[in-house]
Amino acid sequence: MRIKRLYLRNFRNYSEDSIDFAYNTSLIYGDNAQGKTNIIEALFMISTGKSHRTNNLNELVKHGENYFRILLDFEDNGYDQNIEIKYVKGKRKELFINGVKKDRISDMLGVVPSVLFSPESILYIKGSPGERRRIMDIVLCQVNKDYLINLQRYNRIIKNKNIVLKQLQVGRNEKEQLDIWDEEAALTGFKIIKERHILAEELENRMNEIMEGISEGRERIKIQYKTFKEIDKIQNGYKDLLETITNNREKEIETGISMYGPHRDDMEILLNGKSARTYCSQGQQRSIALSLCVAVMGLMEEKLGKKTLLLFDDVMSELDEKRQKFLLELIGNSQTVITTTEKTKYNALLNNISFIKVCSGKIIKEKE
Amino acid sequence: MSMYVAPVAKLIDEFEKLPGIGHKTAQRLAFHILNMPAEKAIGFAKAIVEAKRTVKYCSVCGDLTDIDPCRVCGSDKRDRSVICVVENPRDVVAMEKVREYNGLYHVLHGVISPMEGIGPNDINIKSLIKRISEAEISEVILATNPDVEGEATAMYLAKLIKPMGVRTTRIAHGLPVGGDLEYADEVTLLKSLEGRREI
Repeated sequence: MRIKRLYLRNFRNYSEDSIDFAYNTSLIYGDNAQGKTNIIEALFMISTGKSHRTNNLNELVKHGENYFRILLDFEDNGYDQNIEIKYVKGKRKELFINGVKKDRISDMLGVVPSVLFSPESILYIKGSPGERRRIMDIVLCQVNKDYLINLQRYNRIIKNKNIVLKQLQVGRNEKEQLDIWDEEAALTGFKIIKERHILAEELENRMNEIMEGISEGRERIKIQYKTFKEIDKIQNGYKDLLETITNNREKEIETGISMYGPHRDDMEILLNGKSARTYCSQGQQRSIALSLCVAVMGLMEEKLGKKTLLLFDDVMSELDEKRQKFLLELIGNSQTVITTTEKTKYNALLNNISFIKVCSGKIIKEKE
Repeated sequence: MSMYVAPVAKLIDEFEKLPGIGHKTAQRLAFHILNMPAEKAIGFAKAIVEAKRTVKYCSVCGDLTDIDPCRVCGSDKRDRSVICVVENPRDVVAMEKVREYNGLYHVLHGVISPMEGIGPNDINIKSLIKRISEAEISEVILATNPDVEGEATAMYLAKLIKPMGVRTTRIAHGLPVGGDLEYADEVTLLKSLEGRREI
């Protein structure tokens, strides 16, 4: 999979513009607040259906307009294809693949797989467990449709169950009904736990290979998937989860929320045996976040059997020279889109690079 | 402010209240009726009133009927030891089209959904339990939809019915018959793999 041309209409600060991408690396440069990240955002959106910066689609529409369009030409499987997202304010966003309207936004997942590395990626390490659940879900949803369906089902089950719990607080429901929601939650929840546990193990292996290059093997990563009980001690599958839930029934009713299951889990990352979240320096956390993103990319390429697009938003300046060089070697023949404020540095580091200048919502292409 | 005289505006409003009808379609339907010959329009109105007046819920199974008990519940050709539990009357029609199922039905008129404020007492469960305990029932087939609420309702019913010593089954989901394997989406295909059986 290689992306070729991105067309934007009324997206953020772009009225109407298009960008041609290089086969390997495209470097988008320009001063602050000119619209570099907006290009990354559009690519992320066409890849995952969501913005990485906001949940409010109206923010993405250019000021004074009432719709936006993102159209991406790409090549996959040996022929030219395209994918488009259209959003009119107050309506649902629409998805088209090769000109055919798709009813489900989930149809786009995995079509243009991408991995984003931005300054916020450090939150995967030092942020709350929710951030780590998010990255696990992003990866698994893109490579496994069944996981996506189970996750959607699970969220709905938990919503229903929480209502039942709150009704029980005031005696407006029966425990018999809670029984079924507990069981549904355990059944579907355990499927999610299993997938995430496998993912954690795969990421650990990949991250250690990558860290070897960054730190010459001085640092070992361990990833533990933290769930309702230690993974090795689970013997009867979903029944163990159900048991934990029912044993804590009174506590759940008291708080009015479901307290056990994948929606409360975490993926703990340890560096040399210590929690990366609490004990690592900012620099170490950044390196781990980087290796996590690269590991995710490798995993997706293997599972989807196609090349993944790499998006680096303003992160080069945060890495020291050694890590920059390592990173650029690593991404080797992957297609990459990089944003930066300083153009000159990369001339020496990379060949086969195309430069795109961005200036107040306008694209200016340069030939090197 | 409406551009139409009151009777027309009112007709459009009434059409718009129907499911799947937007403002434009409501306008089209209203004008279609205004253009009908008078007797056809009256016939149409009569059909609505007549249907509403004569069609009731069957006191046994809860399906729509004009006689009580309904034709299925009152028939002596049906297997009275099997009950198929469905969400709504449309599902009964779907099952009947199969022409293979010869048992009785029970229509729940909804599913358990805390999110929508619907509990077990709001749907037709009590009379189902009563039917099972009073008649000689050998099997109950749970044919609610395979979505979250449908599954939960099936599980709720299974927990009530199984202890009564009645065989309780859940319909399978998977590949549509007559469909090609290559056209099935991944999730359906996976479900049919999970539900595979020996031949």
